[in-house]
Amino acid sequence: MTNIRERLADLLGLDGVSELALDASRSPLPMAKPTDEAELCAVLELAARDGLRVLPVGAGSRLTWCRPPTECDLALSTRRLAGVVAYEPGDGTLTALAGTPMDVLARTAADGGHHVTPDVPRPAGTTLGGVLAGGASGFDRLRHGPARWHLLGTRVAEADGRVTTSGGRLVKNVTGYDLHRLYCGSQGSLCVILEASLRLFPLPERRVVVRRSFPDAESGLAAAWAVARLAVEPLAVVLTDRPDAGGAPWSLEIVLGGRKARVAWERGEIEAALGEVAIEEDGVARAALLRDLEPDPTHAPALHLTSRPSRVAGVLSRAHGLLGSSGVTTTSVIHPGVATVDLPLPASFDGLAGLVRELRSIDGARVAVRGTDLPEGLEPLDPPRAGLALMRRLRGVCDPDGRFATGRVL
Amino acid sequence: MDAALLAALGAIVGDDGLIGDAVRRKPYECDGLTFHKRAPDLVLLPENTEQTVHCMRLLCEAGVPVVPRGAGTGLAGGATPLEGGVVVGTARMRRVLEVDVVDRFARVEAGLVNLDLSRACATHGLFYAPDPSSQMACTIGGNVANNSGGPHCFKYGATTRHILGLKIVTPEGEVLDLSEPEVDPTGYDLVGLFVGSEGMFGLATEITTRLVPLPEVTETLLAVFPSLEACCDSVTEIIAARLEPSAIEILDRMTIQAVEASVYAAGYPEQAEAVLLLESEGSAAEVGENVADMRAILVRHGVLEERRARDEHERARLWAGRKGAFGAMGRIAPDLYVADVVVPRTKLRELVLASTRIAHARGLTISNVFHAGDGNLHPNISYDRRDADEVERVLDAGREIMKLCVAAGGSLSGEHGIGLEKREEMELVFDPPSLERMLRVRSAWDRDGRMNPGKLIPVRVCMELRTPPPAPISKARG
Amino acid sequence: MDPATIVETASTLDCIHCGLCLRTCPTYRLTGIESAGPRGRIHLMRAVAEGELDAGADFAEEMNACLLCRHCESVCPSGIRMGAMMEFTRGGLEAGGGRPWWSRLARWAGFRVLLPSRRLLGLVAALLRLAQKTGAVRLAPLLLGRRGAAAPSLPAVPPASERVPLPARTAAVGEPRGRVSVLHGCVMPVLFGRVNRSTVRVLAAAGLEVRSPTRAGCCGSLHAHNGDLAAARALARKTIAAHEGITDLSGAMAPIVVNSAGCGSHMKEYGELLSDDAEWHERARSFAARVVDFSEHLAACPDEFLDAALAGRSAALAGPVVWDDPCHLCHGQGVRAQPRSLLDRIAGIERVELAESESCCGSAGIYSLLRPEASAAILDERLSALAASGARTLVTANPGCQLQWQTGVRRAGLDVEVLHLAEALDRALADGTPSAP
Repeated sequence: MTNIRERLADLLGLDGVSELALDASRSPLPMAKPTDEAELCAVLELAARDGLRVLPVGAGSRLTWCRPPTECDLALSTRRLAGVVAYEPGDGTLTALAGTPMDVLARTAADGGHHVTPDVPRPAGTTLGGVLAGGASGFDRLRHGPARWHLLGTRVAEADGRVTTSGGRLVKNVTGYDLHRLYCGSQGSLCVILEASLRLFPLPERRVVVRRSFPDAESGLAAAWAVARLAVEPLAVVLTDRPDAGGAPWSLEIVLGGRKARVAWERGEIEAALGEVAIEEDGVARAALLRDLEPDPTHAPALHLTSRPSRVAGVLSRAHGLLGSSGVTTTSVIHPGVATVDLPLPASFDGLAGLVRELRSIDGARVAVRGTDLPEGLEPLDPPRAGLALMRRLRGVCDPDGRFATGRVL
Repeated sequence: MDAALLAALGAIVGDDGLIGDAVRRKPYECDGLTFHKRAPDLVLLPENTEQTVHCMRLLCEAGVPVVPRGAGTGLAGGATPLEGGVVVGTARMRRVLEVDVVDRFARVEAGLVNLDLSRACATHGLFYAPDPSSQMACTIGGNVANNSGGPHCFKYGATTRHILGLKIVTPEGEVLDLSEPEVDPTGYDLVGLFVGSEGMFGLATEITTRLVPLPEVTETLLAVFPSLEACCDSVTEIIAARLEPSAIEILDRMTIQAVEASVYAAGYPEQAEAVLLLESEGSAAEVGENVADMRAILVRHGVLEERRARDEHERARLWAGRKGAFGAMGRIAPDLYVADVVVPRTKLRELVLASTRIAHARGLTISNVFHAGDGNLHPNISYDRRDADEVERVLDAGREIMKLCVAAGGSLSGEHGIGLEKREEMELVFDPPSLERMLRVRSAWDRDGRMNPGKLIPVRVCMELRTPPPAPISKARG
Repeated sequence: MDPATIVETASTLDCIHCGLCLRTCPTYRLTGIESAGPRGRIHLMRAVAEGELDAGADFAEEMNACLLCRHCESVCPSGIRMGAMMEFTRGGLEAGGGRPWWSRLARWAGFRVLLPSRRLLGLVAALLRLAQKTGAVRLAPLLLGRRGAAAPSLPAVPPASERVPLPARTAAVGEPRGRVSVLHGCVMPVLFGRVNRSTVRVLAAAGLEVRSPTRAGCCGSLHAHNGDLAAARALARKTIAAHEGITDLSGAMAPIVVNSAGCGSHMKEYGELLSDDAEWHERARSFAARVVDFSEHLAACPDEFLDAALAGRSAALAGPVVWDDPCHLCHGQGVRAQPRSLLDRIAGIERVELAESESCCGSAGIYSLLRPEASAAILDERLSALAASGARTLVTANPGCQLQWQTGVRRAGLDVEVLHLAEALDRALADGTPSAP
């Protein structure tokens, strides 16, 4: 171990090496922190030479989204590969290095009147590369869809230290295979993302949040359906009983954004459909608060249930039932239109494996459990529905020696 | 072709699904790009996934190349069996299998014509957004293979943003059923990777697509300009002002004249140097505001005249003219080379003019009709393929235009794909390691390289990489 | 064989291979085979023209499988003229020979003997009616084998009282406002005498004096479609001559009103058919300029003409009513709005649109006799559309289409009455009662 650290320090200097604690059961990993592409590739070449297994990481905010690595000799952080490479306000595209925090991207784009999707929770603690590799989508998914839709191209380092590209910086482009779509959500198991280009959207001129309280989740979901049938296109619709959201006991929050005329009209439509509503005029702050309600699994485990919009009510009621009978009281953050339900769990909870097993028997639901030090044998994700053999072959051709993020995905 | 294999294939697809005679095979020698031709050894038209599976198994055992084909409207030679083998067409797989009005998706067979999907769900107030100009002929399967675009992809995004699931028949004849829509895929995004793979990974037989609600209000404007330059500049400014029309298209004078002489005559003024077709969708308030802002920009750039479609009929007519434009160029010369370059939207004027200069310098006739809002240019060069010298000049001009656009930060193709046509130019955009990576990813899907061989990857790169085969699965650790 | 005698090379160059025609082509929809679609057919023609392909039996089969519905022309941005190209090609192929003796004999008997002769047609109709009434027609397949298979599905011949020819002259109702000449036709008087009479009644009610020159019979459209151009030209000359003397009230040449879309479309192209005939070319052109479809002429009449005939009268038509665009009316003549507007003038009519109403019903001249299976399969798709429309009455304007729909409606067990536009309008004259304001 010291040996690896020393070799890394030789390459990167003392500043370029630190450590990463993955979980309580393992000693921390040495972590290489290159400052540029050349250094990063040098680390990969070293790893290739010495047969070391590498865990690519950004800010580490999504390390719990799939299995921890089974074998790993060092972590490779892209955090210091930070900075906006090109922001083209006239073209609505942005290219940045993988380690750039998402809040920096958002601010840069906002200066030119653009909005960056995905609008992820706690953006200061995330990086572009980590968010993409983690397959994270944003709070704004209802309007803009998953992040992978707007990834225009990547520059990546392969296992042998070679740098390759796919896609480009153009809003429309079908030149070559969309390898960046493969990398998006690959959890660092295929390559290290060095740089990525995103399509931007107009920054909403105005944002307001329309809220209404409901006595129970069912009536809240029914109201969300009523809104979904309108010709409005909110940035997000959230139903939650989180006390920090302040609704009593359930609060349906509709985040509107866009040009002033549109927001005014949409607000009127929703008022007409829902009756008495409260309006939060400072939509930016309220939206950020709602966005950050997504549980942070680095401290305590959380469940992330997905289904189809039409099935959310059924999945939610079954999940609540199962949680209740497990003696867990929890809160929920539901995006009904996207069909996700997030449920934070108590930090120490013995029945987790059993509960997840039962939740996975709910028809039409996919259950992810996010957290560090999960019980032995508890799979954080449902298995892929099909294509496992193909996925293995893809990993085989992208990373023939199985160097990256070993055991994380397959 | 081996008689026993023929008989076995015939037993699967029936007499109607097997085309073996020279006359009926002949039209399969090319798609919408007529530069390159080679008739397939056989054409199979299976009726469903099961038949496709059985055919693919036999073809795999026999080691025969397979070229998937939808309607053959592609413009890059993607469905041309240049290395021979068997064309497997989806023309007899065109059912709508499921329309889920609540969760807004549809499951359809690959050979369904694009327009028929929108028609099938119109009564529910929904539609399938990607609308290639050939939408009344092209198939959803072909759209998936090429990640096709269309005017309204400016707002809604290209095909890849609309595909939720696929049922794929692998080169070995296995079914990879990824048709169930998922919020986020577990493992790798195989569906996202497959879209745009130009038939080189497998053959999609069923496709799950998103459906989107029909807009409440649609406003369509035709703006007439005294010059193509002013028309381009107004688009650049609309984009820079972050206005959100749903489509922005430019047609130049020659295109206008060809369209006006056709059954798609849309009432475009024939003396105009260029027209801009603009559309805005949404709520009445939003559309009103958007259109007012866009019009101010048009006026600043010297628009001569603005016409507003008064009803759905007029709107349809304006769009029919745009969508028939490619075919209408048949009035100018027997053949048409359609370039498909994409450029940063800040450089529209510069690159449109430069493309024109390149064509004129070679004594060629060029016209322009393109998805200006996406920076997706279509410099169209009219020619006669019987004139060998002219063909050479067209190819040379095409290469020059691609080089120029790539150098300006653009790319080879915005929606038609690489196919045969732009295969060698891939080296302008990607370095050898990147192309090698693509080839390796392809080998994970198709070990023997039998699916649509000879497309997309430059010959030189293939030659260099023939030797080291991809790592066997057992060596890969996962 | 010289390719130039088979393919008109220049016209194949118009096709730029965009494929927009594919979905409209009934045979492509049926088979999914490229060579069964317009683009593929032109591709093959061009291959023959450029010497890449022999114009052998396989090629001839692909050419003959086309319905000649010309739907592709309506969507072709490049303006290909499939009808003309196909007639030229079929003409070249026929001239080049290659048919077996029995096929040549059947064609000779049908095209050269039967269709041009009103007397023979009448005789055959009488015999056929007898065979249908006695059930003898069902023996045909036994006696003739495969080639007699179509006999039982031949249309029912109406009684002799319905097969009488039109009077040479019919006076206008009230003060005459104009004069027209009406095409008698070949099959029309035999199978659809009532349609011809309705046509004349409606025109007369609109104040038009109607002439119907008895010398004129078959216009030759079936001959041209099937490659017998020599016979087509001979019949064209005969038809032209028969209508030449008829003048309007003002002394100008009277319009020639045609109630069969296929005939009208063909007659409008006589100029091209006889373009190489020095003596007849000019006559053919001026004749063609006079040809109008029944609906086209009626809809173009001043409102008061129609008001005199139709105003405020309802007709005994079961609703909803759909209009089926005959291919040779919408694609061949570009007539789409006129029949609809005429139907809409019938008081109280509930008209709905038939999905894909411009798609061929599979009748296509004698296609339904030559290729009954393909024809029936094409009709099936149309019948589904008809069933989905919920219509109880289908109105069209071509004898072949009318027969095809009648057969199909019966086969599918639909409760839909199939009428010619003239019959539908005639009901508003005859049975109609003024509706309450």
